[in-house]
Amino acid sequence: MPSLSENPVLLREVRSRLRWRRVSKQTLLRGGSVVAVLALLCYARLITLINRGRPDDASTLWWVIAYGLLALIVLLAPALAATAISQEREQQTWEGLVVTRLTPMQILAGKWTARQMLLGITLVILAPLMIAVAIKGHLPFVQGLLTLVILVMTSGFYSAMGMFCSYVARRTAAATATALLISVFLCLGTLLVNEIFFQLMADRDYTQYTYYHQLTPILWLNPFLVMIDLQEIYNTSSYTTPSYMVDQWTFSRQMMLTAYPALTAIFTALMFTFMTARYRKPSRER
Amino acid sequence: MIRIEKLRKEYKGLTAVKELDLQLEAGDIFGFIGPNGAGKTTTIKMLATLLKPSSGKAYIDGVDVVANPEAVRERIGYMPAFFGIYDDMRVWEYLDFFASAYRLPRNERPRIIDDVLNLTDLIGKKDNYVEELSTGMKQRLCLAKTLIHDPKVLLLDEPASGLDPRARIEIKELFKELKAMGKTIIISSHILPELADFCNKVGIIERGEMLISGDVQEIMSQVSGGKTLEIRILGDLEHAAETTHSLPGVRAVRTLDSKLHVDFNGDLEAQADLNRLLVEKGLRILSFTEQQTDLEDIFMKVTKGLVQ
Repeated sequence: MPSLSENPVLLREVRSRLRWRRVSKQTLLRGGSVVAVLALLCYARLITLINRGRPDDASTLWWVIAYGLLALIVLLAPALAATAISQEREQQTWEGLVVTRLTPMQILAGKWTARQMLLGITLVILAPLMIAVAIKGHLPFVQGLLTLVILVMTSGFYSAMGMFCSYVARRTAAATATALLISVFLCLGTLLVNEIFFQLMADRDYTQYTYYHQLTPILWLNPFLVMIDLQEIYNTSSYTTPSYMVDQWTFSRQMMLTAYPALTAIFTALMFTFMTARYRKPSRER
Repeated sequence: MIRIEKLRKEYKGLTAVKELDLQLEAGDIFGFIGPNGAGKTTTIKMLATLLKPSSGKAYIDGVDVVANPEAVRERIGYMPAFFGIYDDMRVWEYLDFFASAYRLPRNERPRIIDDVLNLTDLIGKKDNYVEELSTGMKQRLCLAKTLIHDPKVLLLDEPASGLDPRARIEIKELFKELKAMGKTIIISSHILPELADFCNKVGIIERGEMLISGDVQEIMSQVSGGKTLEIRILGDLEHAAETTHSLPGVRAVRTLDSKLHVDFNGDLEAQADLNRLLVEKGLRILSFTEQQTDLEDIFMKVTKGLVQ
């Protein structure tokens, strides 16, 4: 069985994304050199500014980058992944792919991995800046690592969700719209549902639930809340609230930080299992 | 090589294929004939492991298509009626992709790609982008992709549809080469002349039922039940028809375009005797020819229910 690096679907997806390969090598070299020099100059200036600034500013910049990447992922990952299968069906290339000796998992994994490139490339480009910011802002190593883990898990989950929509829907437009709607629901709709729930509960005993609100399971899949929890979990020293409440908050946040990666991993695995099981047998009639 | 037993496919409220039986030996070229919606594509898709039969069995090279689809895919090359091609790849990249998907060894791929490009006469376009190819070339490229893993069985669904006459002739020549290579081929079409040249077996399907199948020559004699003679007469055509009908060996006589079309049972001797008798009866014959029965005639007769 070929490894992922030899997965033909992955290689083809990567090739098709490098549309600039049709540009002549000379033009590419010239354009690339100019862009690289400009980017390096900007980068060098930015890192100089960070080094001259205060640690708090650097810390803030870390979270700006993290939230920015998160926003990019929840908007782009599902939209990009929603084209994965439905577009092949629309272009009538799907059957040709399915009757090869590639296993369903190889096809899906190739497509899914190719769609992680966006995050991968962005992280590679931002890596020097993020390292500089983390060092200057005295960011705890675990916090920095968890930030990256959440970004990676989010990208994987939202891509899988987009692919799942693409598998289920007949049309790419429908798949994209559905994937984005789910994405919006997970980021904003979960907050709304949570709020409605607590407004209803408030009549009974509001305070009983106030500190546990983040234990509401529907919020465990909200990527922004988990990022907020990750940001806040190390800021306990600034709290003016009683320590027992801080303990509850910390517990709640630890719960979130455990539940989110676990749930995204479980849902990603479930979606892959469903998709591969559905066409392992020759019963595709779409 | 291919064995189909009581194959059936039902959709909601529609039976697309009804109890289909078929047996093909290695090297057979089977022309699958039928009008649109007859069930040809559904049957081919079931053989290609893309559709699960509602009941019945199908085996390719002894392998059950439902129980072991992965093993079947090694043995078949499937070319759908409507296919897409990745336009943003070069011709060799496209074939390399499928060679890799069929797990051909990396070091052998360049040779194999050159071989199939030579076979499909696309070697000159090796470095072109797929989107630069004409429709006929894309069709041949799809066939090249289908052949890349050297399958024993080819399932070709309407392979010449949408092609201009020149491209149609070119692809027909290609099929003849495949026949010479000893491939077992199922080729579906509703354009009959394109099958007549190279199929040794045909099957006619209508509304999911295989009306008739078998060796082309056998079917021709079975369906036509003898020969059709075309006789051009000078004079009263109706009188000539009455006279001819009474002669031995004549089953039916029709008048068409100032000619007699005579359904006749008999060998060449009997045919010569008929000619002599007509002259003796005073008919003035301008021409006396045996009409060639082709797949089109058979198809028309069978699908009209003339032969059951």
